[in-house]
Amino acid sequence: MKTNKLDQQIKKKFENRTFEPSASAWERLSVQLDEQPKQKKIGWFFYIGAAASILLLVTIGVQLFSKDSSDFKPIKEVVVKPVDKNSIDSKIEEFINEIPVEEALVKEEIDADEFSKSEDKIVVKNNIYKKKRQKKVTDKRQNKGLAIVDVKSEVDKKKQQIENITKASITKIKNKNTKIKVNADDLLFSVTHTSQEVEQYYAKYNVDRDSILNTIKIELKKSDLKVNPNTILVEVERTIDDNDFQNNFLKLLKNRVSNIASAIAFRNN
Amino acid sequence: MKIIKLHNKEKSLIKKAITNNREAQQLLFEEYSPKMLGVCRQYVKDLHHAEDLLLQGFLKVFTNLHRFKHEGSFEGWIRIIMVNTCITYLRKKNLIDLSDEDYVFNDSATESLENTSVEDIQKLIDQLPEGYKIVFNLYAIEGYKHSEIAEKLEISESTSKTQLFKARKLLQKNYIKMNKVVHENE
Repeated sequence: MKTNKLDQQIKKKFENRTFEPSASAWERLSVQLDEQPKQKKIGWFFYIGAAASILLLVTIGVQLFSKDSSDFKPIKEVVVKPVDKNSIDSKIEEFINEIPVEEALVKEEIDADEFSKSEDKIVVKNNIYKKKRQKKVTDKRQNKGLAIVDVKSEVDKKKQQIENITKASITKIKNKNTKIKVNADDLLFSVTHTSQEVEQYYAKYNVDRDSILNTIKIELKKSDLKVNPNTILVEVERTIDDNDFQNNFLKLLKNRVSNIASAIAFRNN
Repeated sequence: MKIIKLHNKEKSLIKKAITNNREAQQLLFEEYSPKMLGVCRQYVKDLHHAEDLLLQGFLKVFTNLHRFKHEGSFEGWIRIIMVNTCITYLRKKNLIDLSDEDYVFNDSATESLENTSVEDIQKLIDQLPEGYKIVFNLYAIEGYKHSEIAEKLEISESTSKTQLFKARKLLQKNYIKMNKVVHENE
């Protein structure tokens, strides 16, 4: 307790003790206080500045980004689309050109058979009709028939391939490849000249339709092509007015024989 | 009524001082600086040095004034800041020596301090080693608990207790010595 008394006595003594600070004390403190708020203000401005600059950067960034994206979009449309179209188109064309040739060959083989029986008939080129004709093929033709079946299966395979490729992009073309039925009579009718024009031509050169047809047949045999001579004839008649054609009739006729094969094939598909 | 008025006056002064009103700050400084200089003087012998610490303390008071929640007395709040400022200074300067030193003193010497002047007592306290002095000041005058002192000075509670005990003994011893000198002179 004694020691506590000592503590309390000392505490009491000190409780009201004061020292008057020197006259300059407040001045000095005031100067220090002046320095303090300045630092604070600088801090305040610094934060505002930092925030503003960050905002500015973000804005610029966003603008640049949006510009970039707007620049890219047209490029995508310009570059990517043509590539797609071209590649798909070329592939499709490839198949279109490939398959029909074989199909056409098959068809024309039968047509040639039929032709001997009914000369005037212009062959109708569609798959259903073709199948009917295949049934009519005689026993002699059995071997060839087998060949036809082989070709047909190949054709089917290729058709399948085309389907796979074009399914995603162009359905119209797919439909054409698989189900198109072109009436050759109508088609030829629309492209040929009027019968008057043809007759005039024949009269001029002292030939008749049958003799030209025979020439075509001979040429077809020569080039080992199996195409309906009638078709060639019609195609030839269509271009009768061409001067070049008139001058080099036979020569161009030979060329036409080969050209016509692929042309018909393309039409069929 | 007067007390309430004074309290309200102080409150408005503090509000103004928060907004960095120099006049209000000066009024508050003039109000509390003499007492606080006394507090600082407890820890530092040199009065000019004590004044430096006083200004440091008041700078803290004014820059942290917005943190004062009016829960305790404003004087008590300032006083805590002053004591902390002094302790921080002494700790930085490594002036606090809390090592145990053996002092031999006379147990019988216990006279009343009532007739002794504050400055004489201050002289007695000044004679104490820094460690003893701080613990004694914090415990006896500021009223801190040993646990609080231990936390403030980063020492153990038992060290705080022994430092206080030794400080008291040394004070008594020095007091007797002083009295003897006084009496001899008489």
